[in-house]
Amino acid sequence: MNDAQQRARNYFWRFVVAEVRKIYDFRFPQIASVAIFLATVLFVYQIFYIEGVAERYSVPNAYYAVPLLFYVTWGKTLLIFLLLVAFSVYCVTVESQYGMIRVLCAQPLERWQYVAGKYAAILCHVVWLTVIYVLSLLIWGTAQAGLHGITADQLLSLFNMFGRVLIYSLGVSTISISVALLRKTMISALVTTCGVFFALALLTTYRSMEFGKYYFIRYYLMGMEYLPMPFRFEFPRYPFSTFCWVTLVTCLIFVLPALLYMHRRDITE
Amino acid sequence: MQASMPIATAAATPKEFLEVSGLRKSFNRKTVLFDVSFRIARGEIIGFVGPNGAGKSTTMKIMSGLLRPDAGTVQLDGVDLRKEPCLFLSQIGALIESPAFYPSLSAFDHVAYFARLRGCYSAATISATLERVGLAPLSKKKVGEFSTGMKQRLGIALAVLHSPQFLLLDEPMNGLDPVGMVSMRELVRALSRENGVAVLVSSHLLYEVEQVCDRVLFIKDGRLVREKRLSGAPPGLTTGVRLRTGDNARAAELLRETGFVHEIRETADGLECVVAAADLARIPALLVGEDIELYEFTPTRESLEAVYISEYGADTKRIIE
Repeated sequence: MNDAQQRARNYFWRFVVAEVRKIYDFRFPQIASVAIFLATVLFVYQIFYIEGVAERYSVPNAYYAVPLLFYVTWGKTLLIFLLLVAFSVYCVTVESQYGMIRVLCAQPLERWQYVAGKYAAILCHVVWLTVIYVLSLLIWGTAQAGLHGITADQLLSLFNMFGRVLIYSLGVSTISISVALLRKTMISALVTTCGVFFALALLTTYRSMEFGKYYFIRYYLMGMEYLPMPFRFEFPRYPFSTFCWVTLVTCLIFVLPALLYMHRRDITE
Repeated sequence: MQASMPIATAAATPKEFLEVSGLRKSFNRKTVLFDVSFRIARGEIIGFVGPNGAGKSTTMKIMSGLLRPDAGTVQLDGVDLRKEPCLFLSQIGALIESPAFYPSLSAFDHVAYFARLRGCYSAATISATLERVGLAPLSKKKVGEFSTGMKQRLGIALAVLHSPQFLLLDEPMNGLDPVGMVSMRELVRALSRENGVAVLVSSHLLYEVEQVCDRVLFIKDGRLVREKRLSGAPPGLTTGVRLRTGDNARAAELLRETGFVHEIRETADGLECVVAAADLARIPALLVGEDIELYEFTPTRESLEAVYISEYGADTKRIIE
């Protein structure tokens, strides 16, 4: 590697580190982490004490409680989904919104490095938020139902689900970042991103469930066939590898146009 | 007076530190820059003057990598912006248009962010940078609560943080009080004198430009129309001499060959040039000795404002009418 390439690589990694720290300084990740952890308590209270799910269905341990909590926090409401979208969109469009993009694009970074660095930094925080989320499910699910009688296979199923949650979160954020890069204000980026996900969801309603395993958006019902649910859904079975490559391909469909657009555009804001 | 292209200065120029050559830019099929070319030497401070919409910010944005030119090159010490953007941009600092910041972060956070990016992060560096622009007491205050002048100072701090070799300052005096303007002037001079930093500064404050710049470039409708040297000559310089001769073209050629004429410009009815006071008498002697009839020989002192009005005054009058 020659001096120029080494220098460019050094600037790239320094940019990623600086971005991660900057997002931390916004305090958004810290507030979101506390909010996720505390909000999970509210969902526990809702489904176990208000709706009385445990009186109607058997919830002997966390293996049964965690999927319920997951379904309520992710499937029944869109709070986690919207949090990831809003966070990703904010971290991208804050530059255009306040004009910082003309300062950042005048730094010694190629455009693709700027874009790749934004992805890397934001996704670092998304990993953190997702870990907080799954830990919240595990902690509060365990606090509610305990670990009595739970087997190693059941724990593996839970971790399989957590892995899919992480992959899916990264996918949602990557798509949100890609769409936000095409817009210049937070509101327009948020509206466009929600519109994109809505359009993706609409497409799935006209396809069979078997074909639906190739639609990334449907994966919020991820891993359900592995886990006990008091109400039945019929899902086609798909392995973790399918989940990963569908997520990857879907993300690439959005990432490549965003990269190309940022590489060619003039910074006028 | 009709706008006219400057004639090249009499003295030959060595390879310059920054070379801008043939810049051309269009937006939506409308050309806004037409073959803009100029050079800046190391340690030189160049003023960039023109009315709103003339192309100053567009030129500076191209030089800082924000816009891609349709044609032309920008080279800094032989490094081409398009071929080696990382190396080029690592050596420049820029303050383009109004300073931009994250409202919820403090001045310290902003400087720390760019210090991390540039690989010069240390508490001492950050403190020294903020101290230099007079923001040390406000380092922990959120930038959203800053006044315009404070934001301007912070923008300049970010531009000089990494000790660049070339500085692009787009209207840096905006929002500064008189004390702030003096501080800014001294900072720019110190960077140029002590560190050999080349500076391109655009401003509508002609008095400030006169105080700090070595040369001034005038841009109009996307074209460089004039260049005026403000310094670099011996003390007691007569800033201008107006000549009217029987053969202006030959007179210009002769004066250019002399070496003691710093600037020559052809006008509608004669020549204008810049010489040292001690060389003033040599001009009529030279011209008469070459059998060139001399009809007018008038020393003048031309202020920057007078030049500006002569270049752009007709346009302003049209707008008012």
